[in-house]
Amino acid sequence: MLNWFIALFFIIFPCSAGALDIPALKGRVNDYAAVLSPETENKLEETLSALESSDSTQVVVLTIPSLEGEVLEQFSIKVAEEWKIGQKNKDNGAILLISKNDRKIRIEVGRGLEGKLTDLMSGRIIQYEIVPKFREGDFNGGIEAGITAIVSVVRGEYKA
Amino acid sequence: MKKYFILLLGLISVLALTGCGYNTMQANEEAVFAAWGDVEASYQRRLDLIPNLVETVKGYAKHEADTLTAVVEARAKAGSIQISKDMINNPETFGKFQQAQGELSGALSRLMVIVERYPDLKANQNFLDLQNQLEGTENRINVARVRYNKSVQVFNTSIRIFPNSLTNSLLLHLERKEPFKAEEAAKTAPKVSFSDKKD
Repeated sequence: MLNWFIALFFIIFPCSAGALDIPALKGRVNDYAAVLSPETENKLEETLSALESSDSTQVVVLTIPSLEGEVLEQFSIKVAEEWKIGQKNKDNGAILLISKNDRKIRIEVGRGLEGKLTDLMSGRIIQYEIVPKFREGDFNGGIEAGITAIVSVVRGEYKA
Repeated sequence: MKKYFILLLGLISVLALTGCGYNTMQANEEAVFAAWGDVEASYQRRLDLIPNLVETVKGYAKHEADTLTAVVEARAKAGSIQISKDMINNPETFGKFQQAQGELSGALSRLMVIVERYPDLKANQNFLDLQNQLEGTENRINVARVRYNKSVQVFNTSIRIFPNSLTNSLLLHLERKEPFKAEEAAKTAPKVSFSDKKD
């Protein structure tokens, strides 16, 4: 009898284990934390679509207000698995994830892009391009600099 | 007439085999092997990074000989275990492998904690690069482990359910694969103390 009640309980309240839902993919720039100005957003969209048409590499930006206790790396891989950024079979996509209140930044890179955008490069881009601007409170500048660096790494031009 | 009979028999057995999971189980096992390949590669990558890391830290933090030796020893131990595909069938060697890698994780995280005391080291470009690579590798290890465990679960389920279990015990004899268990080192995360007392 008790088992039935437990079963009933799970039917009525399905498990809501994932604390933070994966945000919907709206475009190349997904500014859920509302840190970007419309101008920057347009500029980024342009840069990123130009990158896709020239190199077929897809890069998207996601900003969220908070991770709500989730682990950064686990959240970013979930987003990557859900969004499926990059060309199919090539897996050449990357996501620049920024969690505003946690002050956390991550570049999640697809298999096909790992050769160019290595952990080392991603780390340097975060440390030298994005973080200094964010410290000054300049989210627009930081994200723009980060994307510029990612684009030039993908094209094999970035030197840090 | 006899020819047709054999043909028919062949057809029936093919249909029967696809119906009882003969192909599914083998496909699932291959998926486990593929996922294991990723696990192996990412652990190997970590082993390869450590000598450089130790050298770099040594240059700045000579007084931390104990912690450094612990990392070197843990690496040697983890490196001495021959990684192979057969390992995942064998709970004993798999356990040993996991334990050695867990100890290495523990030693490494202790090293990363003491590094905080050396501002010069933290500003060193070489160290920062190694740190980026190490963090990336640790993350890859986690992802590879999660994916491996998922594929193991699918495989282990597929050899247990009926009628697959029957096919397996009669024809294939595939063995259950070992999943990773929650890390020992994770339970004993390094303590960060704000007092000067050494523990």
